[in-house]
Amino acid sequence: MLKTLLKKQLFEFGRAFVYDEKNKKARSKVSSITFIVLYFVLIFGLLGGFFTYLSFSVCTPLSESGAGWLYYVMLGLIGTALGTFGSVFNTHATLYAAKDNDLLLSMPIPEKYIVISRLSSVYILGTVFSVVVTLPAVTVGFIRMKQSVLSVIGGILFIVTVSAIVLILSCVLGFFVAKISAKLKNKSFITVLASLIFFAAYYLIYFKANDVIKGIVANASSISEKIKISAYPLYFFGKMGTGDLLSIAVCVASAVGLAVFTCFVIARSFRKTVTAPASQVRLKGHANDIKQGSVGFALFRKEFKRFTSSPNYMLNCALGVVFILASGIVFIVKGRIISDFITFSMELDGTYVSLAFLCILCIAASMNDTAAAAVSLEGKSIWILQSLPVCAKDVLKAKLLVQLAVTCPPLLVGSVCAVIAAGGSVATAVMLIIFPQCFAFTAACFDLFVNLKSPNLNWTNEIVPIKQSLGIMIAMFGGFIYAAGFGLSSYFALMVMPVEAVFAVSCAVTLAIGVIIYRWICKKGALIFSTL
Amino acid sequence: MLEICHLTKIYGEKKAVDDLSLSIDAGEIYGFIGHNGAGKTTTLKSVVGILRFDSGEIKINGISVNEDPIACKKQLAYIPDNPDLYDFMTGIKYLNFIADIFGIEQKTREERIKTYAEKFDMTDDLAQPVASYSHGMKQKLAIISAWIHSPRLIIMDEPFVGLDPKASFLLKEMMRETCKNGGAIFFSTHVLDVAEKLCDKIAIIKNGKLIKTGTTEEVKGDESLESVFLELEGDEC
Repeated sequence: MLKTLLKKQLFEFGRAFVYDEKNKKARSKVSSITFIVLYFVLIFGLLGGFFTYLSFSVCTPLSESGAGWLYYVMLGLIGTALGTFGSVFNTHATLYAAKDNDLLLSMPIPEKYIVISRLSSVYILGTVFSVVVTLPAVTVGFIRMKQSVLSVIGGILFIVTVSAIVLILSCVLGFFVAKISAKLKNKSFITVLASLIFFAAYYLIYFKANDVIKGIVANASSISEKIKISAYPLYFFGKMGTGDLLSIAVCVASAVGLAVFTCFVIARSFRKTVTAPASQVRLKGHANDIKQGSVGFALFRKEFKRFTSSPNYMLNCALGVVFILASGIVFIVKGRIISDFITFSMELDGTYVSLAFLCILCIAASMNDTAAAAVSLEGKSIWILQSLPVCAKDVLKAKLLVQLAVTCPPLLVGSVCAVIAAGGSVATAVMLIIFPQCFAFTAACFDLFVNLKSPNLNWTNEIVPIKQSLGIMIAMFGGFIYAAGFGLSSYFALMVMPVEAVFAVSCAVTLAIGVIIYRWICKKGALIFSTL
Repeated sequence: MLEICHLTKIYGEKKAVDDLSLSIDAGEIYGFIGHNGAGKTTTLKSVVGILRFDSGEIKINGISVNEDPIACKKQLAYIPDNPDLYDFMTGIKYLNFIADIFGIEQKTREERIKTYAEKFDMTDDLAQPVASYSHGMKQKLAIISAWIHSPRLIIMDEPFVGLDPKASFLLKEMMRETCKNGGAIFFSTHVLDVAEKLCDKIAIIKNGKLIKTGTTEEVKGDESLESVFLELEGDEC
């Protein structure tokens, strides 16, 4: 029975890799393998590459100062943070918000089996994120430090232990998210707010990490002593990576024991948690909700409500808002440093400062991709729009408008900040305002195009179209690549063309691409939507 | 009101609906019965413009569903077999959304929502999110949303499933009232007693083909509808 549940859960987890939603048939083996390889190359190539570089830069100095264990502590904590951060909302959605919870609970299946099968996909996702750090860390450790049979075993078990800790933390946080969300009225916004605070803390640590890491490397011996005195378990945790038998035994036993205990506790409370009423607060009155509006506004309002009602949707598909506004603040506060770096260190003129700001804003805007999940999120209720007297084109426009409404105003704020920080000519100021808006339009069209090309209406958990679809990855990385391509081509073009011409061409090309995709959406996209 | 001519819909190699023709006039309640997988839902979804069909023609008041789907959809309402509504909206916001799509004026929508919500004991529940509704409540909301724009043609797929006895009674009353006012109803059901008592005409479909159609009296003759249906099913086996 457990095997069947695990197979079902894993199939759901990897459905996008093996099932072609567009053609409603299983992918060929070659296609599935290609998809899987691409996904892992993307994850391990980008993130893994960064952490491999980090591992090489800190491993040698720490091991030479006799604090090899501190290297494993550092990388282990980073892996734990990344894994937990990457899977905490997935835990809540997979464990407590899955649509087939009632179905499974009605079957003669022990609750612990349901929990174990659900946690298998939580574990895999958390492990994917943590391994991105721990695998390069252990590999570099093998290369740069003296090895014994025990240290090799310790290194391998270090990876397993971190993944188990990630599972424990994800479960604990997911459990609290479930408990809190059952009692809140405006839970979507509160969840988003709490998550953003979490993200802010995470990124604060991330940006301070370089200084912190340098500080640790420089003061390895004194920090080692402090950890041994005041945080002995961390010392144990690091020692397992270096092959200390006692540490390996204690850490593995503790992590596995705690993971089993967590599963046990979650299994015990699973039924109560998933069957708790969605909200204890019964809403009153509704006279004000009856308001006449146009068809277009009704569709937009419906799409926007869909967006604001889901913390998962907001956090995964509109995180760019935070980054755009944060970029604007950074431009104002640290603009001088960036400007000095570009003009003095790189010996480039002030135009390149504006170009850098434009690229940063566009990369941040690429993280907004609500349209890339908007069609899939119709799910089984797609019949409503298909049976109503509305043009599919208008429905798709509403989906585009939500992404634009979420992206354009913060982009304008970010652009104004960039103009203030960069100074420069009127032409560059105008381009700093216009280009990001053109980019936002094209990105929204591209995101919707991607979703229309690979819609998934058969999900049981909304996290699948929001976070785990290949379309979302393509939409986001497509934006990154386009922004980087724009930066690179403008960098060279500015050497031979006047700034006004470079920016005008960039705007025109970006807008033209957007218009072409928009026209495709209105014609072929509308046809695809009405026949889904 | 509704004309279906030689409708054929193929899924892969299977003909889900095979050369089906029938017509429904104003004032008629038309029952559509058949075994599971017979092609009822496919036919209904084709009529309301959700499914594209391979051949044939469907016209609503003389307008082709293929040529002008929007004009056709403006005249009809559809209630599916499983009312998957927008969970993220409250009941009232869902009704307001539907009213906006059909361009119902403020005063009219307020009156209709009040009337139907009271009829179905949904007044207080309309403020709650659809996600908190039971199957029956969702079905009631789907019914109210169908009637909110006073459609001339109502297409329903198993409309009585999940409804409590009072709501079932109300729905039958509303169906009769709609037809009395010149509208028409086309609905599928497995509840043969209801079909027998409620319908003016009945069509029986099997494996995508229409095997019997006519007035209720013509279809059942001196027997019960259940006997006729079971006989026809048996004949084909």
